Amino acid sequence: MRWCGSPEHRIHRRSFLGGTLAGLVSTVNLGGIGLSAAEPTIAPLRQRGKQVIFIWLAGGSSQFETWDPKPGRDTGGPFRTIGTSIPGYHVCELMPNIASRMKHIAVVRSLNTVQSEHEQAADLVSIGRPKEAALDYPEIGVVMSKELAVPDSELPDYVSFFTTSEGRRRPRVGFLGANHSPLLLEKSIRPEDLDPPPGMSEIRHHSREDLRALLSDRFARQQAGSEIVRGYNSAYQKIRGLMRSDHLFNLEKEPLTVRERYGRSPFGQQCLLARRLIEARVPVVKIARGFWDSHHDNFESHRELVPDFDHVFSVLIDDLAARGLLESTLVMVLSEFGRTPVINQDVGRDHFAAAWSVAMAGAGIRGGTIYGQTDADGRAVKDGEANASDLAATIYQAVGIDPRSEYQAGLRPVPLAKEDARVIKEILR
Amino acid sequence: MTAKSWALLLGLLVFGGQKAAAFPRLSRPLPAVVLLNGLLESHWQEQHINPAKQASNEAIFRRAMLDLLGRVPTPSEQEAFATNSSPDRFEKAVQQILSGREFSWYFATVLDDMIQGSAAGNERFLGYLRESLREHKGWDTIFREVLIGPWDNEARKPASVFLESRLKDVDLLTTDVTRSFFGVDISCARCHNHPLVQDWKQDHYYGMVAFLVRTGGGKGSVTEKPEGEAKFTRKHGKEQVAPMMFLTGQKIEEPAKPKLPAPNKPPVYSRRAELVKSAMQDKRFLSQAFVNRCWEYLFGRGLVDPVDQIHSGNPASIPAVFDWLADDFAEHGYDIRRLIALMVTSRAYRMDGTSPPGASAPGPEHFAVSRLRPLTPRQYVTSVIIALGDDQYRSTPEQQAAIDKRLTELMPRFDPRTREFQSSSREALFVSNSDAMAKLFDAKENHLLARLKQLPDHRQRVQAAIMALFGRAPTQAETDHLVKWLTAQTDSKAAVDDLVWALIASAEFRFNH
Amino acid sequence: MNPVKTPLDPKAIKLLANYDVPGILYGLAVSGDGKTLFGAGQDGALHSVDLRADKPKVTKQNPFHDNYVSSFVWHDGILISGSYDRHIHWTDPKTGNCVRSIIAHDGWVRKIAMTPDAKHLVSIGDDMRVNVWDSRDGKRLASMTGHEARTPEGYLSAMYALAVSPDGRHIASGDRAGFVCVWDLSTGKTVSAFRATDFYTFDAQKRARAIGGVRGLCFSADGNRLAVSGIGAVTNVDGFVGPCRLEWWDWKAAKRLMIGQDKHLAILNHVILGTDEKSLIAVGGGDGGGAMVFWNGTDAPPQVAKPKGHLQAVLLNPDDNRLYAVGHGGFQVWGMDESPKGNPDPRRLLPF
Repeated sequence: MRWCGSPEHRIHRRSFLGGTLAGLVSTVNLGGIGLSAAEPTIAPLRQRGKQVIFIWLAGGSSQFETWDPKPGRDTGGPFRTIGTSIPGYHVCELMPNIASRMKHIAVVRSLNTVQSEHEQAADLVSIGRPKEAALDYPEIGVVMSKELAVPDSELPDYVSFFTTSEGRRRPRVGFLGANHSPLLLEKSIRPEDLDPPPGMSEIRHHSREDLRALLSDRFARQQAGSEIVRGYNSAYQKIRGLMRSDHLFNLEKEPLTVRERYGRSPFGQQCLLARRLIEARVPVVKIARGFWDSHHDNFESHRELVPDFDHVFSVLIDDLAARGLLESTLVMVLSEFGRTPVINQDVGRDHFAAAWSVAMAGAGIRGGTIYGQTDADGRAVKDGEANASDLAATIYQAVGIDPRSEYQAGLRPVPLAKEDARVIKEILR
Repeated sequence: MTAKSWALLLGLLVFGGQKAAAFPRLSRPLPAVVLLNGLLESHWQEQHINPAKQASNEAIFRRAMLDLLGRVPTPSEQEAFATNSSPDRFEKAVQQILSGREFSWYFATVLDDMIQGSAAGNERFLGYLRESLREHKGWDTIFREVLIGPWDNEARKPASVFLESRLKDVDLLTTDVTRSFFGVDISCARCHNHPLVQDWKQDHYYGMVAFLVRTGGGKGSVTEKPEGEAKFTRKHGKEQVAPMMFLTGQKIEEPAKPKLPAPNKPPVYSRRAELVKSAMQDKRFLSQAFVNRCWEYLFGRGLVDPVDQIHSGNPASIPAVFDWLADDFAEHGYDIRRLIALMVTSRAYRMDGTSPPGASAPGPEHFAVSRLRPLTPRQYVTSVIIALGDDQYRSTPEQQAAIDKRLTELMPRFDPRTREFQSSSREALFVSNSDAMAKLFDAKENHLLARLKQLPDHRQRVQAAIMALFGRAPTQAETDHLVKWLTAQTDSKAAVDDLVWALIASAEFRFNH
Repeated sequence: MNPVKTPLDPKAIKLLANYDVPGILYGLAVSGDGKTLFGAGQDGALHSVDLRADKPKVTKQNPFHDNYVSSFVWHDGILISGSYDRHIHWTDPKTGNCVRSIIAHDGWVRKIAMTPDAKHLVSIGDDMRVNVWDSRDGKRLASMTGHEARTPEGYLSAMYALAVSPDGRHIASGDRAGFVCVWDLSTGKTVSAFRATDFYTFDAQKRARAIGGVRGLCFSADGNRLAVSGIGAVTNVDGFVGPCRLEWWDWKAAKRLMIGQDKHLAILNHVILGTDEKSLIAVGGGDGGGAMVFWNGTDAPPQVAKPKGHLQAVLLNPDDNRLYAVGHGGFQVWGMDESPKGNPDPRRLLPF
């Protein structure tokens, strides 16, 4: 065995391996590390028709200025609260539009994720478990893109936007390997190099690609470790679809009224694009809105960022609902952590992972649920403490993926969510 | 040589002699290679593995050119190799590659990746490594100069870049020193004894911190502070000061300080120097970590995998080879070229990529079949430029500088060779549609495309293109198919361009094999 | 009172006393007799320090605003305060009684100021208006609009800075996006408008969140020039990581005259005229720590003293060159006096 004998890593061949499904386990190339992953995965795991939008508030948004305000307390800051469509639940006054849409939204106010350093915390929240040297876990979004993939789709299974520099991250594919890497949009909301070279006909473009694919396939057939070529060829196959789906990335195709509703902020444009991609059946879309890391001038920053978020998020929810997509689309608002109760000397709030909030809407979510509670000053979780693994398990469960189902990495069965994760059933339908 | 490897050698002479004799071309190899091959052979026998057949000399020549010079051979180089009838022409070619200037130029980027990891790419540090390879410095010398200098002249000063870029964070410094030079990741033992690896306790982590905690400086200089301790708190315990302790468990006592230290003088005593001393006394960690990283670079996977997880719970997949190579490397002055030559001329490197028929494919950890390895962006881009070029490439400084300029622009557009290689649609779109790629195809005189177009017929074009790009002759079926394809294209001028594009973007060119 | 002839020497200035208040104070006033310091901020309560006491200490009264107090004016025994609770209060500090209260803005009240003739009180708020009040009865006399509600990038803007000219004829206001308006008090019309662009950082790729703005304004003694304070180009995403910055403008010509910038990383929240009427004193803080900046308005760079906390407001007593400041941690008193070691005798700080 290749790992270190810790009880967490014991070889435990759970039921499915003993049964007929063992036959489905095949070796997948992992760049020479020689693990084998379940490919294809266990059939009941696969969920059809569900989609996900991740909204990643990079840098760490403040729970005080959003979902868990503490007005009038020393830690509360200057913003007041407003009532919502849930009796007794108030949000920060910077979110009037969200306040009136709470029937769609569930909030977990009791996350304690411990890790308060950007990179590690972002890994923890996006993977849903602590990193482990011996095994590279994929990001939740990557797992979902694999499980929610539409067969024979020519669109990518996962589109990840990250056009701002703060905390720019590429989703980790981990042991799932190259085939599951998302389409990254880092420079603009339109993929680069979508147009064929000037003067090249479509026929020519196809013809040379067909030749390239044929040569590659023939070459790979004789080679050990040629699974890697599968991923390579599939990347080239995908570009056909991408080039054909150019219109998807073109917001001009959207009616002016809709574009105006989303607004002209980059976040608004990304959310509109996300809705277009969801409508076109791309299973997973991730949007990142950066610059929440307000060590200084927290209130002026949130006064700028939160209304933009409030507006765009509300328009997105309305738009998805109006198109009948909200029922099948999970919309997750995540961050690497929240911000400190203590207001520092530069009128800022620092990193804080001990008691913070996330929100979600759509597929599988019991809208209008507020789960967990922090103490009067927001310094600690008082009720319903949940960690990153619990959150991951809940996300999987929301779209009907059983978090206890397992991938096979070498001889080691790896459950999607950590073994001790608890699904927060209270916020699920 | 250890007792263990002698015993294995004896075993080999008894059981493996016949096998070795099956390769008449290895009639005059280095004795060390015979031994290394013997260790590999006995491993395969023990494991009942039927290794692949030997790849053609042309194939391993191309393989080695990519690994050691970061590019495919030019047509003239191919021809020179092909027309050489000497039975040990591959060994000679390797020798020639290793003694050339281009090896230092290129292989320094490989060392840079090994040492610097994600911080690789610093021009000054790269310059230092190039110079070090040119001067045939041993790995121990590079290790020492990176950690303690002397940084007393322009050539050696940039060696301090490694420490300089990690000054702000002693934990990062500790983790990176141990990962890069000793092949060990002890970072999990920072907060508690390593949960997964029995070897690593908090004492090891803070013992290593103790060597490095006094590293200070900034703005272009690295110093050793006179004071500073590694302090940590055990679970349910009090804060304590960690003594310097190497990974072997050997503790170092700091000598008592002189009562009146001279004012304004740097401390004579250096804890980092103690670390270097401990590592050099031990030899094992320093040697095996580098051996393992080189092996990973050349074979796509370390003998211990992952390369920063060398510990008792994660043994090498071929322990005898691992131990013997580590001993040999340390015993021969940490000579990087000798180590590379051994690996590249070994039986494992010469494997064909096809599994022997009938047998189930042996696992990659046995190195009995050559496995595909993605080219790094540097290797791929350089190879495209050279393959499309005018056959005048002689790796002169001017030519290298010209290629470097284009590399800076193009490399970021290609998928990096990571532990789990990911092919992205981004690269595919770039290769298929970008202006930058189109520019590489602008035919000039003597350019591959121009040369192909001058040939009288498609058959010759196909043969020349396959030879130039894949370094081999096409099969009959291949030629027939491609000629047919060329003929079928309506735009015959563009057809040659498209053929070359398809070859360059095909897996046979994108991967080393 | 004998006016001090020697100008304030930035090199000799030092912290003489500090009076701790938890959190951050924004509003600062000194009583007319110079004997009492008033401060208020985060907790909405009135904090005062009787400087005559043997051991001066901070007295805290009950909160008199429902939110942060942002700005103070002392007038004729009455403390006038603006707050994020949208109100302006007139408070008798002796009794703590509120003698008048008005809703001043639809949004946070950011700054208030009094005209030299004490007839008019001026205020700015996040409704982006400049309001003029009759200081005797609190009646609104004018409400001036001209600042855009949104930044050029489309996000909410805010009003940060306010100044009244020494002759009382002009009012200057500055906002988050760097726009400055100068108003004629008698007509309520804009007489000049310009953008001090360098105080505003927004980079769609590297820093898609605005930071900076015109944080402080003050007129020169002759009323012809206008000083602007804030922070220069911010390099890091997470806060005040940019050089502290001052500019002198010829506001009538909308022309920048001079830049005073120091590499000390801080934002300058408040700027006032110095002793020699050519120089400026500004306070703030940020990545480099607290900042107290002295600039003589020439090509020579500003000099920076480093107070221990991030400061929000400053007042100069021209009689003895003492500086009173508030910010994080409470009150600070700065001056050139040679004080004995240990606790300085604050009575020595006072001009009587």
